[in-house]
Amino acid sequence: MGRLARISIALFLAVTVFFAGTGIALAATVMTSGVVTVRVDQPGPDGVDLYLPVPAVLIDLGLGIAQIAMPAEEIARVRADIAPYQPMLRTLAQELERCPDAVLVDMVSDQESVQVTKKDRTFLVVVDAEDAHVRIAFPDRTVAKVARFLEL
Amino acid sequence: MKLRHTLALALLTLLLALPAAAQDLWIHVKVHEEGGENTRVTVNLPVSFIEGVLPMLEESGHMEGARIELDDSDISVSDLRRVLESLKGSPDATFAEVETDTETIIFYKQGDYLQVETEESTGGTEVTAHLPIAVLDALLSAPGEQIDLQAGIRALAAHGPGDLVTVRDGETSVRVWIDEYAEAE
Repeated sequence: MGRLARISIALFLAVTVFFAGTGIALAATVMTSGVVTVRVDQPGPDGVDLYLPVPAVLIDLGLGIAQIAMPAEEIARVRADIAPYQPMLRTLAQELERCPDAVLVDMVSDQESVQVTKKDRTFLVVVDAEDAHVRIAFPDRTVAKVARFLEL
Repeated sequence: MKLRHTLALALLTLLLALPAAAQDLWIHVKVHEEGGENTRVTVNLPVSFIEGVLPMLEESGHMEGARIELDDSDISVSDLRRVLESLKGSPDATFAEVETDTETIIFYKQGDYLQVETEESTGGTEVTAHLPIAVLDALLSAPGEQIDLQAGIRALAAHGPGDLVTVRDGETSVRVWIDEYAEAE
């Protein structure tokens, strides 16, 4: 095997390890931080069919970017608006995170059903009605992260 | 000596278990409406969650004071406190039975509970409340005309499982109770 071939193989392996490692690290980050998913399904010709999975780590990133990119006075205005509700939001976030797994709310009628569940550190809100099916899932830490961003 | 050790160990175990038991309790609300849309609602929340969230109401200014309104007459919290004090020292008995053309209300003490039963003579609403006196005592422990909901919840958690309120109104029934299970049976 010539020198060029050996260098090519080494480069190929290095690039493969880099991408595979990055991929594994990314997958591990997404798995540990969880995924926020929103699914909206409206039957009918004009109905909405939306599925939006967002890794929670991107929300962290978004909050971090917002802190840098948003004008300081705009952040100050948002925080001033939210200030009266901050202690409530903080408490609610803490309690949601501590809340054990269970079906927390279950409402069923002939027309619709609503269920709020916590399982494996993820909240799941499912609304089934004749005109729409909505399913929102978010990790319990997401609310705490948003609350912390608003407090900083 | 052995008996004393066993008793001490049992007491210690009980003291250590009490906060854990309170944390593991769940409050359930079940509403069933048979008519109309045939709605069933179940809410299951850890008592510790309610205990944690209640200060939010105080911080938002919704809990500065409370008066209980019964029809046209107001009953002050200090009046309730006086009634409760006399109730605590009394033996089990029926304290009040109010009968009107439309309903009957009975208040009686049974052990550590204040029982309230109301029944409409037209076959309407029936309410049964099974209220631990320790919880009422905690609720009324705040100064002045305030009701201390957080102390009430803590007392409820310390009191342990049991039915609190049941309401039957024609096709609608409501049950509120506490137990160790995360989901209502």
